[in-house]
Amino acid sequence: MPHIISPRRWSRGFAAGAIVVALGACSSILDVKNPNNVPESALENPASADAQANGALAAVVRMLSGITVPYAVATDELDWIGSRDAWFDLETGGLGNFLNEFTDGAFPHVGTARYLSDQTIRNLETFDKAGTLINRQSLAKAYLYGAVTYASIADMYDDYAFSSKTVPAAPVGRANMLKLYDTAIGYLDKALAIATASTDRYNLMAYRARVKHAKGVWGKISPEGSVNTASPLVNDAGAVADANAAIAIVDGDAKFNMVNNLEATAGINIWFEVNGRNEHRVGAAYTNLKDPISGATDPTTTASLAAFKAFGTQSGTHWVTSNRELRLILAEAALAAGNTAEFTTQINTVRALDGKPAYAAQIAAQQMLAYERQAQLWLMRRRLADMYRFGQTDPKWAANPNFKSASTTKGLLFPIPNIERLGNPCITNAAACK
Amino acid sequence: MRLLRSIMTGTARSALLASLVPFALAAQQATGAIEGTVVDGGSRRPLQSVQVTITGTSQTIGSLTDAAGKFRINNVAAGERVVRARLIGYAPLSKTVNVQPGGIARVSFEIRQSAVQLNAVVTTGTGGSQVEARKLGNTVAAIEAPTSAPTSSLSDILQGREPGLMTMPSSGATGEGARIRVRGNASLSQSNEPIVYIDGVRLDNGGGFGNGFVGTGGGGRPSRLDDIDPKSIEKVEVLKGAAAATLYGTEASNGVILITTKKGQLGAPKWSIDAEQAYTTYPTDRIAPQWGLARSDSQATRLSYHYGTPVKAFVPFSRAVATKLFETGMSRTVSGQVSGGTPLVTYFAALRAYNEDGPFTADNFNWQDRGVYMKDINNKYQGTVNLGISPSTNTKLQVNVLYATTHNEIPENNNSIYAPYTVALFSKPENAQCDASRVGGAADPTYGSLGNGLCKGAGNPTGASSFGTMRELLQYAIKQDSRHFNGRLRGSYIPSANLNFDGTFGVDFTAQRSTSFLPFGNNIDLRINRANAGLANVDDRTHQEVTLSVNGGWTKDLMKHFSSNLLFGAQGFLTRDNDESGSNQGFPGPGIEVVGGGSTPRVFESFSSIVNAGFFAQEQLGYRDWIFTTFGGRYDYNSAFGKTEGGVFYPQASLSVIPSDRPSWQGSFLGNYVSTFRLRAAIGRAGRQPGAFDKLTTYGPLTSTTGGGLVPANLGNPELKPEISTEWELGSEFGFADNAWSVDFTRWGRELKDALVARQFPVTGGFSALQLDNIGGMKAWGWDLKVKGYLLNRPDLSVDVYGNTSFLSQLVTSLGGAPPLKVGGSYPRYRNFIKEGYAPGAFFGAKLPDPCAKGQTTHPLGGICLQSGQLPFDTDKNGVPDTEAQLLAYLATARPLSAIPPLAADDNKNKDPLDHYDGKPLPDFQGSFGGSVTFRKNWRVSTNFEYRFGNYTVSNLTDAFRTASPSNGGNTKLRADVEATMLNPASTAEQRLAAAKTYVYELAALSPFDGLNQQFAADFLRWRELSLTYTAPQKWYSALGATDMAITFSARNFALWTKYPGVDPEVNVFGRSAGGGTDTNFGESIDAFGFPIPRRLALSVRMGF
Repeated sequence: MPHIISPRRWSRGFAAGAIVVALGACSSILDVKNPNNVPESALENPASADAQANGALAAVVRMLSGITVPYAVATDELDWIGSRDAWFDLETGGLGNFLNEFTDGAFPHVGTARYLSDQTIRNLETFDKAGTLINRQSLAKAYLYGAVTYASIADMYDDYAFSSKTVPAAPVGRANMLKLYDTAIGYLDKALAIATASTDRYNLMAYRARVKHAKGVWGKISPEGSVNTASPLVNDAGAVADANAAIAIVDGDAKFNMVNNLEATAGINIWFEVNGRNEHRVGAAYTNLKDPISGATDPTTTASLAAFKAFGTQSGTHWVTSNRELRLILAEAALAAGNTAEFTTQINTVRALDGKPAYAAQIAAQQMLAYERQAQLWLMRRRLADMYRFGQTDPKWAANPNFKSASTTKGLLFPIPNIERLGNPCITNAAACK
Repeated sequence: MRLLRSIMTGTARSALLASLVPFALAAQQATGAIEGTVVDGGSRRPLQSVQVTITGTSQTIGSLTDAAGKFRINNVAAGERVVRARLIGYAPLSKTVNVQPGGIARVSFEIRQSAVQLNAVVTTGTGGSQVEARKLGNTVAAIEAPTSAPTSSLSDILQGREPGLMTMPSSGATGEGARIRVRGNASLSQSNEPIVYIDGVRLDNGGGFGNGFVGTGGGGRPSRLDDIDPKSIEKVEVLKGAAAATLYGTEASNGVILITTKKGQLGAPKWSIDAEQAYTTYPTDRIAPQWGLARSDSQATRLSYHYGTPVKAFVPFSRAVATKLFETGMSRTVSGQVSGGTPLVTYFAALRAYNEDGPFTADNFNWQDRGVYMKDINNKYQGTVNLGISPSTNTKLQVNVLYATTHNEIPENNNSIYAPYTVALFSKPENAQCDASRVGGAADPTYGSLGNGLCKGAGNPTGASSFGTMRELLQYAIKQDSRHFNGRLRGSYIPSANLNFDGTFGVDFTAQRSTSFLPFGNNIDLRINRANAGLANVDDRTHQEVTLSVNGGWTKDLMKHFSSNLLFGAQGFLTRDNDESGSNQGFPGPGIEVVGGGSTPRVFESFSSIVNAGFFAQEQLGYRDWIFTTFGGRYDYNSAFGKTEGGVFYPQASLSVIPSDRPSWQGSFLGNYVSTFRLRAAIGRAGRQPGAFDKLTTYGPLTSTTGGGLVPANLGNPELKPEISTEWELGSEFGFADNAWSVDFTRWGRELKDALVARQFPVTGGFSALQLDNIGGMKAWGWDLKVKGYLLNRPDLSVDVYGNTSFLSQLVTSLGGAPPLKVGGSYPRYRNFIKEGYAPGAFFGAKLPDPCAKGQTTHPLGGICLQSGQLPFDTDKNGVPDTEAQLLAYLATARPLSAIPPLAADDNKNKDPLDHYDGKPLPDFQGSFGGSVTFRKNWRVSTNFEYRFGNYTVSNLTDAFRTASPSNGGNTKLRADVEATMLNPASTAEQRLAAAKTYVYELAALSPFDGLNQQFAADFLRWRELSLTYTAPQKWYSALGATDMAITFSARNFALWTKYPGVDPEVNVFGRSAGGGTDTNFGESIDAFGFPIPRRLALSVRMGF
């Protein structure tokens, strides 16, 4: 039978095939490009400065998205009604359970926000010194995002570690968490030296007031187990000055919010959890919060709940601070200083924003302050510290035989959770890392 | 049928042959034909589908026998020819005939059943290189599914056939594919699925719905492997590990599955038509109804009205909610095949249509006909065409084309809060209410109910758990349409009997489109808040595998007693995967069903490309045709390391010694008892490479309100290299009683070095994603045992049996200092861990304090133990377990279950109460047994049983919810009884104490006691297959022009025996995926609300023409 295709041609075909494979094995086809992400070296390009600042903002917002729900459930701001019963730990004040899946799940976003904020500030400062930073306002914003991160960590955690990539760091200890506020304030100082837009300057100044006040609050609830309920009020001159300065920049009902982008939502999304999944509902302490002066349902909370509901299930806004909070800081400082008139003025300025009747010593001033902070600062991550220092408890808080609970350990904040404990040998053996 | 046959034998064939006339003319020479029959040597029954081939020439021609055992081979070159008859399960037999030009030589075969198959030709190497099994030191498992076996997919074919090969469906969802494990887990982080080749072309072995926004909750994931028409498969071979699969190089450490499709045979076209009607049902008897209790008289009054039957406070009552989602499913299959050929062209073509509407239904919850859309549909249309072209005596081309189009609809299922079955399982009948339909508020005496368990309008008439009512949830529709093409062109050139070359180019291409849709206004009961203005998701995935291989073989006799068989070649493949997904919700109104119609769009896109290429060579030396040694290796490159990095070498060696093939064996003392005896050994390496981009430190996009941002993505590790899996095996085959019985034993061991561990570095370091590092190690060993025997083989009765079992032991030896990995991340309800010193995927969880040992007051590790009289409660929170007296005092008043939390043990006082070992997810032993009986000539019964036992643990999360959750579940009878006792003011303290004990020792589970009362022994025996086939007498079908006819009644998953308390010990929360990762690899044996495995009964008719 004659060959239709000659053996020689076949041989050549096989040889060609072999060569193709051989070449393929050695040539550039092995260099596959990754179009999904950018290499780290891209961050050295000054043109990436804005993108880095935007990334820091996204990371900070994602952090707030992740941690706000566990925090709110642990307080009386949200009540758990759903299926995932690890929430029950938090609902009963069991912040001390480092295994809790929700604090565990949120913590990586905290770690990323902190690391990225610092890295972004460092990179943009380098560009700035080299004169290659095109938009210095990006640096100002990066400072602000860093400040929000540091202050939020100090507000909510009893300890933290400043690791870098694969290099673990020892935890700083609760006593040193106060320094995180100092870092935040330092960032805000630098930012205010750069920022030009009034909105930015307002945000920075208002937040610096809030951080300085928070630092004072932290001192009232620390160390863990020795909350100073006898003298809970904070009177920090810096906070007062900054509050007044911020109000001077933008008066009225000004707010500093961070809008949550849907893509930057953490695994636990507070709007979906409450408005969609029905895992939680607004805390019973808030749904029918009665104004102690009028006895009527509190219009401030009613408006907040309506705004929260209107966000829907996908995304919403994180309320960071506002002139309302600043005036409450001023009121608190005045009350602590014995300046009842100023206290009353500030309280009533706040109350007037929602048409609530004026406070005129119908109840104790501290009670009025505590109430108004509860009504005005819903979901602003201030509630737990306020509950501790004002001696309030969530009726659902309960002692637990298996881990620490807010019901028995006042001043209890979130511990470094399991994901970090497992990945960072310095957490459980700090001495080995010093 | 006659018309079809006429067409094929007439017009079509004429046209085909006409086009090939020039070739045919060229091929003409002096030829004759060979005719004959093949019968069973014992029963003397004619044997169908026996391969009869001419051997000893460079031209391989042959034919298959028909139902009467007859064959005819045309165009056989004149002269003395050796004819060989071969059929799986029989010893091959050769005879010599003399073919005269133009004449017909006749030869008949009586072949004998043989349980030993050492002469079977198996596939090894790449490019389809084949060798007799006896020459290999490693095993190549041949999967043999009886033709009557109730299999409707490749997943079914693989299930329960081979020791060490486990196919694991995640649930009984219609159209779901199975995960596949060969000898357990060979990687800690990379895919644990074997790679799959079909006719030498790498196949997309993925599954699911892409990586975007479409999903079902876990199970019900279609497998692209099931796109293959099972009727088109000639054989499936499995290379179980590195010792056998070295030549497949990187990625072969989990084994290789080689699928060979049917090819045409010389001769007139032979048609085969199959039709099947099947029915599927879920095992409702294993699903307990939903129990609850009214907690007050007023609630009891309302429930009495609602259900129309009396309900009393604190008296548990039940309703069957979950099983109302079930119906009898139906499927129809029609398939046809034709094969035939000329010396120039052989052809095989097959078409198959499979339509299934599974056993899930939404109709029973469609009250007021508000519309439900969720279905379970599995439709497949599959076509296969294989052509073999022989343009000359020493060249051959093969063209194989497979095309499949599928349509699936899958209910949301498993661990999803929106899965109807899940919500139905966890329904609490006491929570039924129709408040939204009340007229006049609380004064409405009907409570908005119709009094028959339904609401007048909106409401939650079944007490569905938190997230939506049944008919709201049932409006969600999840669909997938896919097209799968696989094509191969293979050229073979055989310049001489000693030398051959092969080249294969193949493409496997998948395009799948998955969608999910929730209509506008779906909150018809004013309960669900998922996306009330509608939701649409879409995911388009395209996957491409390009395979190119060239190889040659050279055989030569060396000196007097030695033979050499050299295999060499190169092989590479290019994998590309593109995935784009979009999601949107918030439609402006009803009617819009596309992603573009919403108001909050989201997008997702990913791209992956892997290039792998390598060279290989293998030399096989034979001595006197009874000792064979093989050694070789593959040098591989992979794009994960870029072009600048070197490759990696995977060596192999094996030895096969067959004393029984020595001439002196027969007649020897041993030879009198042992017909066949072989010893073998093999060792080899293979690997798994990291992902395409794992070595890079990268930042990914994350949008902020001020613009696009960059955030840490991949931590990166430039030092990454492939992990190396070294496997050895020793084995032996024995044949007894003239090979009527066989025993095949293999002992194997595997060591994984430089294992890629997905390591969690400190998340405070900024990069939270797991990063691969070559720091791990894992060891495994086991054995496979196969026994097969032909008990009887008489004309009126023949019986054959088989049994196989495998043992598997795995141990994670090192994580290189990295922390343990947990399935599900921080989700505490999945309790599988990767921990040093334990089997991968081992369960850890909460437990109660142990009783104190004699003379001890604490646990030996330092934690609490229970002194005599103490119980695992600490109601006074003093750190000391309560005594019965304390509890009696505490329980003097009614208490909710939340008031008696268990006291969790922390034996080693490390403050982690969830770290107690609870068992492992893969069993020590796995296997199957069965056989077939042929009686009264025309009847045949075949059966298959599959089992798993020995430290086989399943995490029963389904019942953990049903016993422990206060809001979703908490609805078993025992739970209702206990809760009624605890809450009923009329209960005594003693009754409550007894209830509390029941609660803590049998019911308490879930956070923070995850794992408590949750992990159970799950040994099982399943009657997997049963078939009864009747071979019809000729009078039944002769009028149709048919040549044979068989009618089969079959059953699949016919019965289950197990002490496992859950619904099914085979279900698992994670469905099929070809990827790696902790969840995919080790998320095993988690019973989390999936559909149980259904029972399937079928009646089929097969006719040949």
